[in-house]
This record gives sequence, structure tokens and C-alpha cells, in this order.
Amino acid sequence: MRILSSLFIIVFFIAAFSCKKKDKTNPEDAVNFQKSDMLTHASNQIILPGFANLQTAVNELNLSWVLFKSDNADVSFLQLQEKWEKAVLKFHRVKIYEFGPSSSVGFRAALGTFPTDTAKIIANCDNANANLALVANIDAIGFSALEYIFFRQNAKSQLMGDNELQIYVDKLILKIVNEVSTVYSAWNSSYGTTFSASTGTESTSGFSLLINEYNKEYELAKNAKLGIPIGKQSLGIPQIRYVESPYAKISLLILKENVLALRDLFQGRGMNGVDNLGFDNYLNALEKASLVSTINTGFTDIEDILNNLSDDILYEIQNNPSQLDALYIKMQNLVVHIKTDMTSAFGILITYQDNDGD
Amino acid sequence: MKLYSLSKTTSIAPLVVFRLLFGALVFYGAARFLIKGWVAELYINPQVYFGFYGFEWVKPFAENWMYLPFILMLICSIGITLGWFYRISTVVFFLSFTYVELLDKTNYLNHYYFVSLVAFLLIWLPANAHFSMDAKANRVKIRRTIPKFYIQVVQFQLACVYIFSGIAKLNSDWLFQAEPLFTWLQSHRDMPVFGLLFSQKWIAFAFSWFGCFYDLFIVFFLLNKRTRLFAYFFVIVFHLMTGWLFPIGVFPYVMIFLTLIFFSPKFHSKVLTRLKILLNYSENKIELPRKSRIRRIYYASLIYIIIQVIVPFRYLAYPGNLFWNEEGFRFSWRVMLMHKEGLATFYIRDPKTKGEIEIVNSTYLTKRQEEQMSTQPDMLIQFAHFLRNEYKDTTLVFNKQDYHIQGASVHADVFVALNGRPAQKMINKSINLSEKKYNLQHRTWLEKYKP
Repeated sequence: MRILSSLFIIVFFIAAFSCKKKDKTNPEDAVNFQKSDMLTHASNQIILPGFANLQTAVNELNLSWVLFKSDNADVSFLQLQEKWEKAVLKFHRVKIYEFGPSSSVGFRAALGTFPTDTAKIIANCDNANANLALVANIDAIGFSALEYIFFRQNAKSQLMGDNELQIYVDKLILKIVNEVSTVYSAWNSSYGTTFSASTGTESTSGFSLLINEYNKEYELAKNAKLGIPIGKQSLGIPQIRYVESPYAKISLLILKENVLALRDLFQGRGMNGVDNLGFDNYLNALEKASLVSTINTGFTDIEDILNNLSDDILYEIQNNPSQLDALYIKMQNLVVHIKTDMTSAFGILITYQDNDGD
Repeated sequence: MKLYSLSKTTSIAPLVVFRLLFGALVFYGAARFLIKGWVAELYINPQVYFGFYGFEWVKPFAENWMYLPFILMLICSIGITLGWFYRISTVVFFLSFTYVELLDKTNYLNHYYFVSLVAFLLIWLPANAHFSMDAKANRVKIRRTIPKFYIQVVQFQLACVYIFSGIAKLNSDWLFQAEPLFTWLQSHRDMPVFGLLFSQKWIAFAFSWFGCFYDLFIVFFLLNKRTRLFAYFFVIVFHLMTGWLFPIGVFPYVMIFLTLIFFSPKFHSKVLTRLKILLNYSENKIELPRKSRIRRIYYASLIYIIIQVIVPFRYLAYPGNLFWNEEGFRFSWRVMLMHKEGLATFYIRDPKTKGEIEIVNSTYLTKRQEEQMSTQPDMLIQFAHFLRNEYKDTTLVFNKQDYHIQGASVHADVFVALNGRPAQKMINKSINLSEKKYNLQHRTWLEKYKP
């Protein structure tokens, strides 16, 4: 008995010390890296400022809408369009975080569903009792619905003469303002702290949710904003109908903002532009520096192509399809590194069923 | 020369205690499954099921009828514990449980396979011949002793789990990279107190080597009277720790309780005596079993043992890397052995227009199915065949124009990361998967694994 217990203990310690400790060239990384530090940084410097910016933007949108209603001036209308654009871009900075307060509101879908159903919008205008919270109305609300109303041909004159449409816009903007405010205040008051401390491996932990939504958001950007319009799911036949932003024509600008938001979260780049703890630092702590540079290069390549294209995917589908194809391939290549390499290195769980690692 | 005497008998007590515990554990398992809502999630909601080779005909019941096997499991597990219509309880339990496990290999777990096997063994063992409602009601011949090999078969089954999973750990990733344990342990780095340890490589190495040693030898320490208590202490610590760190469900409890079968008949008799006093239990006469039946069970056990020993080694019949190809991987007690993450993008290629349709897997698969399918070659080919059938003869409308697709080929771009290595290509997109067969032969169309 005693011999065996010592044998057990000896084996344990031989195992324990059989590998020499390595010199830590970067003490900030290797062993000391804490997920909670990274999540706190993401929450305080990226997510909260992101929602704050969006709140400012939608409030400004509302103000310029009120102004336009009162003066009907050309300059007010131009300002309204600008404020819409600004708000849409800010929205794409925080669309990733579809968990916690966002998922209970259905934030991503309520604000960002496209293409919008113009017939439904017109029908809803005639119906004072239309319930915009219904799932059936998801494609008649949000930024895409506003875009149709603000940017279609003769948008200004159609708006000025149509009281029902104005009431509909009131409702749409109010809905957005309320939802943004709900989500922002929830993050600000308590969810932010809950999130930062939720570092476990279970599928419901803050960190797992963040990684899962990160993967989902990346694939949404790749498929919905690019792949489907250029025909990747339709025998190569472009699907003009599914293009985002067909009226304001800023689809590629939106895609770029979406990609930059994903890149900044990866790098831990705060809204103030300062690069701090991000997924890249965690990967470095796991001695995966080459993966970090692969992912960074992937983002740069995507950005480079986007910089050489106009803001409108419709124009590029007609004039530059090969570049869009190249962009798609770059985005597709990066999925492997994000979804497979990065996620597997973090060792998080996607589902909550039992597992025995096979 | 006689190697083994069938007339060697021993107390029935260990088998009876085993019956009590097994029934209670599987009751807990089935109840947990129901309470967590997994019946709907795993067996009602999915559109596609990945059947096992040769068992694809096993299909789920319609809608809420899928609750039926689970309710049967609950009833039968009570029957097993109480020894109440024991024979029919074990048969129905084995059939319901195995039926559910055969539905979708997405949900395959080694310990489910273990439960199926033990339930099968219990059908043939007279675990209700003492301290049971059947015995009380004279529905069964009462026995105080049974042939020794009845207990040994059960011990053999538990030994299989440990020893084969120990042998499986004798690979370079486990021993010299401490993978996948390092990846899994470091993810607990924020845990209070222990977190700092888990982010260190040497801890992963210590766990790996200790785990391997434990699995290989724990059975022998349990068999030896002098080391038994000490070994059992390690059984408890080891399983509680793995249960605490990893999402392995009921497995730790199954092993902690069922390894008691290695304890002496005296120990189990004491337990039963206590229970009998507690429940004021008594039963009648003792009858001896027929010899011929014992002999038949003995030879059947030998065949069973030989099969159990061969099955985990069937992978040797295949060339290439076992973890990559997964040919002969399941049913071999390879537990917590690898961490695979994959990305599988499928394409339908229309022979007429040469155009492609990129498939969004989540249109057809649940998250867990997609996760499992992306790394397991046999599931990849099954999904490819599913897609082939979906697009066999179909008309799609793009931009208000009809496209009739017939005899489309199915292609896939598959990347898999194994045990923390960078992802590498598993299937080349040029291969037409709709032509490849799903069978048990070596899959030559997989890219070779580059360590």
C-alpha cells in the first residue's frame, strides 16, 4: 500500500517536472494572460463606446428628422440622409454583440434586416395599427426601411406630401431609438460587468458567446453582404434583389465598416484607436503568433480590395465582378483561420451537450 | 487441461449491488436528458440524421413519439433497480437506449456505448435472483451464489474502458505535446486559485502522463485487495476532477459507482445486509441453477470478450492517421483524446451551366451536427449524399428565371485543425463526393494528414 502510494506520487511528480519551464520572453503574454482583462477591455473600450456612439447617432437622426418635418428644407433633407448614413455605420460597429441585452431585443434583426419589403412598408403606412414588433414586419422596419423612404427617387417630395408616411417614419425612428437605448443602458448598468467576469468554457459564458457571435457575424458579412448578391448561392447568377443599400448605394461602405469592427475586436483596438488586449494577445499567449499575423494579413488584404472599390456593390457587379470575386475568396480564406484555428485554440464549447472529446 | 472452472462460485451480492446502482444511474441519465430538453433538440428538431453504417434504417419516431423511448427508459431503469420484472426491464431498456443511440452518430459518446453494453450484459445475468421484487414475489429462482465469471464479465467490461483508453493515450500528441489537454486546461485560466496552474504547460503534461498511467493500471490496483481502497480513492478524485473540468455529463458518476464491482463479495454482502435491515426485507428458499445454461452463458461470454478485445484494434486494418481519418475510431474507448475543429463548405455544381451553389450548412443541420460533421469523414460523405439527393432533380428560380438542375455533383472544401495544429485541408474541392461511396473501406479521397 505504502509502496504503491509512493509510486503514484512519484509518477505524478516525474510527470509534473518532466518538462522544464520555458523562459517567458513576454511576461505580459504567456501565463499571465487573463481572459477577464481582455473582456473588460472589450466591454469598456469597444462595446460600450460603440453603443454610446450609436445612441448619439440615432438621437441626431431623430433630431434631423424633426427638423426636416418642420422646415422641409433641402439642406435639412441632405442632413437627414447624412445622419442616416452615420447611424447605419455606427450600427455596424456593434452588430456583432448579439447576446445578453441585444439578443433579448433581437437587435441585429430589428435594425439590420435587408432587403426591405417596399410593398409592406406602403401597406403598413395605410394601417395605423400595424404592429412593427411582429416578426412578419421585420423586413419593413429598421435602417433599410428608412433608407427606402429617404433615398428612393423623389424621396423628399414623396415624404413631404404624405402624412401617413411621416407617421410611419416617426414610428420607425422611435423604435430604433428605444431599442438602442435599452441595449446600451443594460450594458452600461450591469451586463458589462457580468460579461467581463464570465470567462468560463461553457457555451453560455460571456467569452463563448462573444466568440460564437464573432464567427456568426463574420459569416453573415461574407454571405449576406457579399456572397449572396454576387451569386455564390445561385449558380454564379448575381442576385440584385438581395443587395444591401440599393437606394443610398453604400453597400460596400457598410461591409467595410463591418469588417473593420471585426478586425478591431480581434486586435483589441478601442474606439479611441488604442490597440490593447484582444484575441490577438490571447493567441500570442498560446504561442500562436503566426496565426495572429495570418489573420491580420487577411484583414489587411480584405481592406485593400475594399479600398479600391466604390461604395456601391451594384456598380461593381456590373463593372468589376472579378474584384468582387477576389474579395469573396479573401473573406472565405479568412474564415478558416478565425472559425477553425482561432476557435480551436481557445478551447471553448459551441453547444452545451455532453462531450467526451471525440 | 482445464483453464477455468465453471464450478467456481461466488456471492451474488456484487452483482445485485451493481444492478441497484446501474438502474439508479441510468434513471438519472434519462431524467437529466428529458429535463434538459435534449429529446426535442437532438431527436425531434433536426431535419437530417447521421445514421451508423448498416443502421441507417433506424429512424426517429414522429414528433413527440420520440419521448416514448425515454419514458420507457425511466420505467425500465426503476424496474432494473428494484428487480421488478427484471428480465423484460433489461431487454426494453437495452432496446430503447440503443435505438436512441443508433439514430444519430452526432451524439455518439463512449459512455453511451458503455451503457448499451452493460445493459446487454445484464439481460443475461441473474442480477435479480436476490434482493429484488422478483425474488420476493417468487418470479425468479433465488440464488445466493453465482458462477464467478458472471462478476468477471462485468469487471472485464469496466476494465475495457480504462485499459483501452489508456492504450489510446500512448500517442505522441498526448504524451509529448500534452494535447488536447493543454488547450482544454488553459481555457480555465481565469478560474480562481487554480487558474494560474492551468495556463502552464507542465500542468498539462502532468495531467496527461498521470491520466495515461491511471487508465492503464487502475484496474490492476482495484483488483488487488491490498491496494483497492487506495485505488478507489484515486478513482473518486480522478473522475470528480474530470467531471469538474470537462462537460462529460454523467460519465464520472457512472465510473465512480460501477467500479465498486471490483470490491470484495464481503463488502457487497455488508451493503446488502444493511439495506435488508433498513427495508425489512426477507426472501425464501435457495435453488441451484441448471449447469447447461451456465455453460452456454460461459461460451457466449468468451465470444463477447473476444469481440470486445478485437473491436478497438480494428483501426490497424486501415492505413493512415487514425485521428485524421477516423477509420475504426468509435467503439474503442478513445475518450478525451483529441480536439478537432473544422470548416466544411459544400458546393453543388450544375453540370449544365457549370455554375455553383454554395451551401449554408445551418440550413439543414443543427449547430452540433455541423460541428461534428465538419471534422468526421464519414459524416462529411453522408452529408454530401444528402445534398446530392436534395439537388437530384430540382428547379430553382434565380432572378425570375427557372434553372432545372439535374445530376449535380457535390464538392466540398474542408479544413480541419487537429489538437491545436494549424488547420489543414481534409477534402479537396475538385473531388466529386456524390460519386464516392459511403462504406467501411479506407477513404482514399481524403487528403493525407501532415503532422
